[in-house]
Amino acid sequence: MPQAPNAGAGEGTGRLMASGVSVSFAGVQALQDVTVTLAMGEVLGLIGPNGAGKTTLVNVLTGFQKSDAGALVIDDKEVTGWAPHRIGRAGLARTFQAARLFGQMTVRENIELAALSANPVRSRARREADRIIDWMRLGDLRGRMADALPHGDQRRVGVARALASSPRYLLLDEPAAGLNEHESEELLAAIARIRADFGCGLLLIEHNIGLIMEVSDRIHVLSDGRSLAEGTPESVRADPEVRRAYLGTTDDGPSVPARGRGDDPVSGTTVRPPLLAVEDLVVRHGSVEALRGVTIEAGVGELVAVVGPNGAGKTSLLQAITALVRPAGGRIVLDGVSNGRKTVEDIVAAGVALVPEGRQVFPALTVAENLAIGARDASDGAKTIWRVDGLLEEFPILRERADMPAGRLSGGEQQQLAIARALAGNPRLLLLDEPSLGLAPLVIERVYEMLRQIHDSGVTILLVEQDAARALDVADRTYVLRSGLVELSGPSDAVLADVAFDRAYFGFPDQSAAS
Amino acid sequence: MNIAAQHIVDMLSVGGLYALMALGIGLIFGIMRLVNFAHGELVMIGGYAIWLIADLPGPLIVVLSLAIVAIFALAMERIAFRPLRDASPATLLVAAFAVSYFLQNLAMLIFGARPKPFTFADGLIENVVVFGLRVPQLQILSLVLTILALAGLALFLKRTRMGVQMRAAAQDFRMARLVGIPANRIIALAFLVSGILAWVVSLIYAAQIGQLSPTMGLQPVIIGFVATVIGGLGSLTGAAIGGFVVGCLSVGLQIMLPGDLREFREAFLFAALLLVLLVRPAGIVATSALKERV
Repeated sequence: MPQAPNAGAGEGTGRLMASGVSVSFAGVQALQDVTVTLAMGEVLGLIGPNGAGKTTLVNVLTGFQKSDAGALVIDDKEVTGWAPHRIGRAGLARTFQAARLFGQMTVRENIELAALSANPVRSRARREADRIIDWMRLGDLRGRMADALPHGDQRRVGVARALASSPRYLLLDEPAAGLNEHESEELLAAIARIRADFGCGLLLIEHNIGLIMEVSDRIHVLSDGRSLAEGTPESVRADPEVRRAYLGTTDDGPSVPARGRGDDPVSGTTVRPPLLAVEDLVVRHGSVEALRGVTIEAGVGELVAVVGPNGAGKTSLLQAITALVRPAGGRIVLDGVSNGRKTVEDIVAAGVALVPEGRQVFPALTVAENLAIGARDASDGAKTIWRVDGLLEEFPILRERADMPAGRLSGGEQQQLAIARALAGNPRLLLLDEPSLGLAPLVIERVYEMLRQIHDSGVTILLVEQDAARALDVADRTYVLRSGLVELSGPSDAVLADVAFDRAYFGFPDQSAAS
Repeated sequence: MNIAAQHIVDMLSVGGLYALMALGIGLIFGIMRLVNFAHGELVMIGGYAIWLIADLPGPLIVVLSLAIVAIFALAMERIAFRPLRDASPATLLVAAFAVSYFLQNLAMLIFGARPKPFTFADGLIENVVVFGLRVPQLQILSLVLTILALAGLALFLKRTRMGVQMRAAAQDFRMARLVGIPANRIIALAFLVSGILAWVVSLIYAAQIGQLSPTMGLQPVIIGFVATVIGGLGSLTGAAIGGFVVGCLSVGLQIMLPGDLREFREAFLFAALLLVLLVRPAGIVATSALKERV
């Protein structure tokens, strides 16, 4: 094993500490009195459901976001309010979700550039870069253009580049996103070695909860902008509060087996003819494989849920169904007709409507205009159920605000509008992307009540959710998606009760494997 | 008192002209993220079209010249921009410059590089007295045309189904497609509307400067683009406001600057606009849609 390049940087017992951090955006409290400490030589995992405030906290730590309250201290030096480059010099380095390498430079140049910031003499910076390249086992890639590397290698170069500035604290932002299992394992090994050889403190943000539990000494859980729990991976994993934050409220029922990965993909009890059949779907965004062979069906009139943590590939699935992205493999069949080269317009005309993540109402259009714009009669001679005035009856709050710009509605009202707008198209297949995201519990209740009514009216629904408990409660059948693969599927009650559920959703190792 | 009123009329007519330019550019930008620098050439084409058929009866001039500008606007979308729909904004920008230079040189080939005198119904130069103000008839006509065009556009965008669809597409093109607005048709329509706005500008602008030249579209397109940025890229209301702000500033500087500095009015104008952007980097009507998550 190559010599650790600059083990000297790791000496001492420094600490990075953010205490009492609060941040609000336009009245929304993104972080509230959050305190995080990271000692040198420690690996701290930061987790939390979508919208918990992880990105905001990272931006505060790195100086990209000013906090309303709270202090930031690096090695006993107060650095609150410092500009990002000064915080960098104080010893904090970060990697980004996308590797953000300089694409038209070689691997060596990328790393040398970072080494220069700690080591202004070019020849020394180059030696330093070479040492880190050897240490990271990137020797074969030294002269390759960063652009030409596969995604997993780009990530490793990104980590190497961050190390080259000799940080005392290193912040890794979703290093495993989009990596396959083998690449994730390699990365895991690299992270363990960084701590051992460099001695710096590592803060890891990761949606792959299984991975983060394996490498972290401590886990800090954020939820709704607050610290929910902190402790060893074991204690956090056993904490019912944490489970609830991710999955919503669930009670463990009796164990009825659902179908796991590798079983017959056409699972559960679809007796009705499929309206939507997704077969072996592969979706790539650049070099990232978001879906890796997913098979999902929704029968006519069925309510099917697809649940899974952030980064599972849920949104990619919906983008492929609506032809917003072209699949790299597999096919999507709508009512017996393959999507093939259909455009978004064709899909909409065939009776598919999407309620997108984050609502996406047209903010400068009035509520009534938002509805009118989506209005169309049912396709294929089916009965037109919803008309704009009927929808305004159905959603009283929208009628009250009919002439108000949609951008001035509250989040919950916007969600209702987005659903009503989709219904105005009289769809046969309604797709919903995380309808509960960022809404208060009472509002979520209302949204799900609406989903039940729509389901009763006979519309086929494909519901994509992170809040698994609610989705499973309302859905006929459920698929659990993780890292681009269907891990578990079956009738919702069976999936919920399955002992393999936690493993499928979170990717925990062992545990359920024994039973 | 009279002088003040005269200045206000000047500000309104110049501001209105800039607002029309800014709206034509802002409409296309909102939907396609394309800064259409060839918009100025539509103004130029409108001028030459009117000049070519100046001997025909009035109504025919209007219909034919409008049709010519509309055809060029639609053709530029179909031939140059539609194939590049999914290209990067930089590619689109270069394409817009290419179309712009192509049309300029085409005009040079046909009409020559030297400016041609342009008079628009001779009688209009004479002054009329309105509320004790002596105003050139041309200015009144310009003002009326501008107001009609702005009101017509507002009505179209507010009251018609296609207008609402166009506003939706300008706010969030992808979501607009997802609610069933056909992309090709709405973009073609946007070019048609921006062509009509360019035609109105060509009428007024050519009459004001009194001559036609292949490069006459350059000045208005730059001012129009600046106005959309000042108003807030991506917002149509912002574009209109931006046009009036730039127009008022421009006329105001002309009035207030001491005589020997007037020559450098543009320098002061752009310095003032820079100040506006320093205070409000996203423009007067900031749209959140363009923000990027770090």
